[in-house]
Amino acid sequence: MELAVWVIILPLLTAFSLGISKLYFKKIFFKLVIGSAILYLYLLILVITTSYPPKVYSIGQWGLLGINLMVDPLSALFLLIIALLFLPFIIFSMKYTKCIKHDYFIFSYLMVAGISGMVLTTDLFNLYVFMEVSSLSSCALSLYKKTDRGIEGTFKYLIMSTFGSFFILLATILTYYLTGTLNMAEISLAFEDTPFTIKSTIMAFFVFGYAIKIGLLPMHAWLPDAYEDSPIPYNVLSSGLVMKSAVYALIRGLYIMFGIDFLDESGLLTIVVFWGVITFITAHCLAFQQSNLNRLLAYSTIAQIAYIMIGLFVGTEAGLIAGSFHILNHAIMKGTLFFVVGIFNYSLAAVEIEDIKGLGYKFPILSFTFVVGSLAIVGLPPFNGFMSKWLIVEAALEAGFTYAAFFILVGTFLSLTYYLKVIVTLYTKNEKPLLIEEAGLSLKLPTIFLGSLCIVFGIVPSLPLHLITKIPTFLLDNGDYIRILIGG
Amino acid sequence: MITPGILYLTGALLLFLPFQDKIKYIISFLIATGALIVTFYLIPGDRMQMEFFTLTLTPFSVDSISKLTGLIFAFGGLATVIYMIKICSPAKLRLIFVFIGSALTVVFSGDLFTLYVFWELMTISSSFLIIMTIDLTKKTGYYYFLMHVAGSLSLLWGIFLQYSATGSLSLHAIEAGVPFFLMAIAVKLAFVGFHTWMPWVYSKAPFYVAVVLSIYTTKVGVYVMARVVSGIHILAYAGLISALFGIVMALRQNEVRKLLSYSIITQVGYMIIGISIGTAAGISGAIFHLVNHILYKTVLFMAVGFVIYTTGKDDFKNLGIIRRKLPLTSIATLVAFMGISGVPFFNGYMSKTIIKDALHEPILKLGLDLMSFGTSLMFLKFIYYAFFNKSNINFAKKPPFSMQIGMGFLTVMMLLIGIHPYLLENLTNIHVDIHYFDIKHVVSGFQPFLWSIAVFISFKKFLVKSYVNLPYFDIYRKMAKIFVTTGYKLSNYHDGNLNKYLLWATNALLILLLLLMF
Repeated sequence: MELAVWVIILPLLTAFSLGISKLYFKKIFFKLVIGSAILYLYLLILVITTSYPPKVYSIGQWGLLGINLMVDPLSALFLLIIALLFLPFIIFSMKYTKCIKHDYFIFSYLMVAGISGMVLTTDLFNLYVFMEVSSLSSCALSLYKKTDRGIEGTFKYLIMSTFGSFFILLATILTYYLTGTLNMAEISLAFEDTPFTIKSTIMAFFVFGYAIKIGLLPMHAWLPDAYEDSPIPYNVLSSGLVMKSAVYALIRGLYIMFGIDFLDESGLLTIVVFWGVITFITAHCLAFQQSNLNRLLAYSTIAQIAYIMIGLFVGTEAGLIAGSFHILNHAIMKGTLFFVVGIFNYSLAAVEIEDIKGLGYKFPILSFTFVVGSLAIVGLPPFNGFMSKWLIVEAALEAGFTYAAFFILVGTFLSLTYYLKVIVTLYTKNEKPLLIEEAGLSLKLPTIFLGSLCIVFGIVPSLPLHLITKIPTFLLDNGDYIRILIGG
Repeated sequence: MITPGILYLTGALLLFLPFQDKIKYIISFLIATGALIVTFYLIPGDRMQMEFFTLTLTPFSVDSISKLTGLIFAFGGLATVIYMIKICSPAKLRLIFVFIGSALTVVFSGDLFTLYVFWELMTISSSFLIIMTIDLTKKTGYYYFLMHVAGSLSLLWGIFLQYSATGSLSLHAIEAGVPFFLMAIAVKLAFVGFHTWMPWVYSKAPFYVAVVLSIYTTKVGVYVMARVVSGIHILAYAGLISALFGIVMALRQNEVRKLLSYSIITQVGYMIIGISIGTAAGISGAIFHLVNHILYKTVLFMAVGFVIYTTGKDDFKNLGIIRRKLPLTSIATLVAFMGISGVPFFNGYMSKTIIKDALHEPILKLGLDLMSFGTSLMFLKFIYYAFFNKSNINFAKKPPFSMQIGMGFLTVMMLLIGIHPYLLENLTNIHVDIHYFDIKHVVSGFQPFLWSIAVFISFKKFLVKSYVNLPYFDIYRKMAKIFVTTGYKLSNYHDGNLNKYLLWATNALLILLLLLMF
């Protein structure tokens, strides 16, 4: 069978066999977890390298009736993020999680299966199903600690996420009712002679549903609550992948089904850019108020995803490249920061900013990594965040959104205020030794790996841009995508 | 191609390696010397181009102005590295190397992108230098970092405007976004109103950090100003106002290093005036003044460093130790004092004369005399405490010999330039047709100095008393307060009530539907 199919099947299969091994073969459990992750990494690299030109895989030879998978550069970008984050996540979690490891890893594999399904499928309903798989297992992971706060936060997450899913499903059903098909290419063709109002209503439902999962302004409040007491390595995947997969589904749906001309005509581009600006300014103001590190990083995630939305919705080629690059960079930077916080949490039970006082002298390398990650996310040179922000601002200026470009710089300043607060606390001397457990190499290695990527992608941005520059080809002009999909 | 900036940056990387401290000191000395030699042999006209994702950059280009600035930066770098080699830990030396390296790269950068990146690196490295040294400086470092990043973001926005208006990133006189460039430069060179970081940082930071910062931070601002926004005539008056403000504030200070910081504002005023005239003579006068200013201001900071190192504090009273116990420092301080006051046959005289000759407006000429007068007046206070005030302060510890060598280098250089002002001109082939030592110039050079001595003697009791601190008003703190209170009010809405969240979401849906359907 085709390789791309295995990208979805392998994690699903692993999740099931992990369940079986929990019952019967407890000894091979960890070998299975690690082995499968390494195999998966190899598989992902193989698939990513064959992503250009895009290929369509139709499962079971059913043609357009059946399930089609497609690997194009945008999917490849998300597979790349999975490849970069998943193995470090597994290695980190092996050490970090202290009890009930089985459920944790089963759900992580399920979640990754859902996300990879989302980014590969070309079918609207499949997209919905995979999204539910990933968001439900994501809820399960966020519940993992089973503390009061954790349960409360997850409950809010579950409710809001279901609320969003409801509207996505509604829009999907309406689309099916109108066009009689669920294949994105055929929908796009059928949409050409649908009345404007109906189309924009459906689009509004899509946008609203995904906006909840992305965390745009008034629907952002669940995110900090959910992050507050969830296992920290999960936060890495959540902000790096789960939230981004909603961004993926949104832009894939909008750009392919509705087409850039309709987005421009209906005014959605202007709305989302304005929405993004309000979102990140508010999120920065709120992040400054937080005393809990997880909540601070959660607000920062909201702000960063708003940058991504601005990049993706200025509606030009440069904007798509910039936004996609920032998706990758944000996954790396936030991963670094959450990993460092995770280690502090693991070895000192630190959750508040006050708790990490003076750790800069105790953990010099980790603190340096934290500094690199936070300067990168603020957007200072020579780190990767600067490169993608430069591209976003340039794209926004080019597309005529001068105010957005200006406020991105203001936002950069605001984000420095709270990250600097953490950094200064990190380097303030403190005399109480409260080390619980020394952080091992398996915790440090993933952290330093992601931290060094921040520097590498900052100094050699052409490395990932090589892949990313091909993304707009199949988004801006949806005709190409449709031709490949229907022709396959 | 080896550029002096890259040399320093590699030095910073080398210092990461696990060598013994002694080897690290040797490496840093070699790097600093190497950078000076490399800079000395640069030929104006050298360029280097490279491709960096979608941009074509010129990270290295030399002309006579950048060569002169680079030369004094490298020279100051060598002197400070020798000065602090014994008292500074390798971790800080690393940051100092990054700082010096990025300053040198800014000076030789040929496009705005490189300029911005290394301008920001300077900010980052110097902020961490301040943050990581001692616990007293955390708030200072926070303030410094935010202020400078605000400045550099303004620079970035200016660059974006320039880039989108002209489509080119090359470094020359800019056309679009001038106010933003000016704001960025104003923060960097501590223009009045944007100066709030400087007296605070320079008086709180450890003395060797203050020495390094005082060489590069403001001067990079001056250099970039000469590059991108020279010849805006109105700014000459702004420079004059800034300088006069510096004098008034400096006369009121009770801490030596605050006086030195405010005097930087005054000296930078000269350079702003020179650059804003815009003629070749004016700009080269400003750059010569930059060179001279680095020489004497560094020596003065180093001398105060000796005082702090040996007595532990930088009160005016403690300056007495210079005369009592530090003979070499006494000589250096006197030479630097003569230089900064613009006395003929000392180095400051040379550049002040060039700037004065380039001026034509009577107000500015008068202002310049007033500035010279004020400068020597404030430093007479310094000299008074160092040499004429009775004090009985003793060594807490002896200064290492290396500190004196570092300072000695600069003092010798000052004397050379003072006696033979053509030295700087010949070094870089910038020629200004001025007879420095004819009667007219010498008289006008001596005048403000003599006046200031007379005024100092007759009004001594007003000048040497300790002043009560002025009520402190800082508009940036007020703005920060607004930001914090807004955030606090916003965060109060987030009380974790799920009903509220759902209500917000529903409202958002309604608004979205309204916007999209109609």
